[in-house]
This record gives sequence, C-alpha cells and structure tokens, in this order.
Amino acid sequence: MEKRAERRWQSVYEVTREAILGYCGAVGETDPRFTSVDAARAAGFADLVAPPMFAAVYALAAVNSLQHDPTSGIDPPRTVHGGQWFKWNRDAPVLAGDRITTLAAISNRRSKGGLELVELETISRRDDGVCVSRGRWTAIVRGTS
Amino acid sequence: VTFERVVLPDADTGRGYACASGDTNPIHTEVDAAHAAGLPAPIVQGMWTVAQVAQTAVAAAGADPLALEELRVELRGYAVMEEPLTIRAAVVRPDTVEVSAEQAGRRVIHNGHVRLATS
Repeated sequence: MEKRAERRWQSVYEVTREAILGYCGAVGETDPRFTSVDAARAAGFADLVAPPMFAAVYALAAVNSLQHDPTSGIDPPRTVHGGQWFKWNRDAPVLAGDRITTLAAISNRRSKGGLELVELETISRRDDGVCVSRGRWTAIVRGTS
Repeated sequence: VTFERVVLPDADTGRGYACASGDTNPIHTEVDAAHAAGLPAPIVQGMWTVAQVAQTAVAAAGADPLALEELRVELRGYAVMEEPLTIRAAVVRPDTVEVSAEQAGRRVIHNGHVRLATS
C-alpha cells in the first residue's frame, strides 16, 4: 500500500563483446548477430548485438544495490525473486560498446499472507538518453518469524 | 500451436550464469549455501530459466530473437542442475506466446506471457 518512489539507485554498465559472448554461452543463445561481430555487421549493426534478455545483466547492479541497501527494507537472505517483466525498445538494440545507465526504484510494496511483495522498477538508458528497456522485478520477502 | 522444449541445465550452469551475469548469490554455486537456505542442492538462477523461456517463445512463434518486445513471468519454484527442465510455449496469437516451465513436476515458471513484434 505504501508508495515511495523518490529514492533511486543507479548503476552504469559498459557492454563489452566478451560479456555478450559469455552471456550467450551461459544461456545457449546461438543467433550469429549475438555471437559473431562479422555477422552482426553484415546484418547492419555497428557491433555485436546483445540478446534482449541481456537486460537481466546490465540492469542487475542497480537492482542489487537497491536490495542490499539497508534503507530499502529488503533483507536479501529472506528474499526470493518472484516475478519479472521487461519491455524493450526494439528501435534501440543494445550493442557492444554501449554504456547503459540503469535507475532502480521501489514502485510498490504490499503484504500478502505473511510475505511482503516489493516491486522494483528499472529504466535503462544509453548515453544518448534513449531508453533501451524497462523492467519490473518482484521481490518476495519472508517474514522475520 | 503448442511447442515443448526440454533443456538440461548442466553441473556448471549455476557457475557459468553467475560469471556471465554478476548474480553471485552462493545458493547457485555452493552446496553449503544452498543447504543453509533449505534447498536440496544449488539451484539454477531464475533469470537463466527466464532466458530459456524467452528463447522457446521466439522459436515457437518462428520469430526473430530481436522481435522480443515484452515478457512477463512469475517465478514459482526452483530448478536444480542436471535434471531436465520442460518448457511449454503456446502461440495464442501471432504476436503472443504463453509460456511455462516445470522440473520433475514442480512449477518453475508460471503465467508467462511473451509479446513479439510481427512487422
């Protein structure tokens, strides 16, 4: 019920080819635009393209700093990730060489059967200000008892 | 159209995704940390499974991976490594895929909705 979106946490993520390739290897992404600089360039991109779900990587540090901030009221050991929403800007795929700044804020918190559901919202932008994706991350915090 | 894909997170999936993503929670990599959290074994990162679900939705719709516009999922349970994970994707409209994932009868991803650009 309590709404407090004033406080924001920020992270800056430098997208590298190595990070995209490592991510693709870890999740089994094989599209050549994500795994080969030549293929990405042949497809008209300036550099290697990050798969859309790479948003879970470049936005994570802002979410982590929010969750680990004692003033956020979230206790990481008692917290599980209960839900996720992402919306991408298809006109702005993230490329190697981009620098992505993510702002995270608590958008909603409510109690449900001894649990607290905390919704975090993220917005990620390139250095030119273009939004590349937005996220909503639901943290489920168990009671202290 | 319903599409089913079985993926097998291997023994290194937790460590590999931790390295690749920066999700360094030890419940994904250390047996002791998993046990302390009441889990039977280290568990796969939820976002690794969400990535599998997204890939499956794209494949089911025959879409371009860069057509992914919106994704919404509920994470309902954990997945352990070295056990098959079954992902189901139902293409309900050309631009909409409903997805879920389960492992050994346990729901892992529930109420998943993926929206794809059709142009």
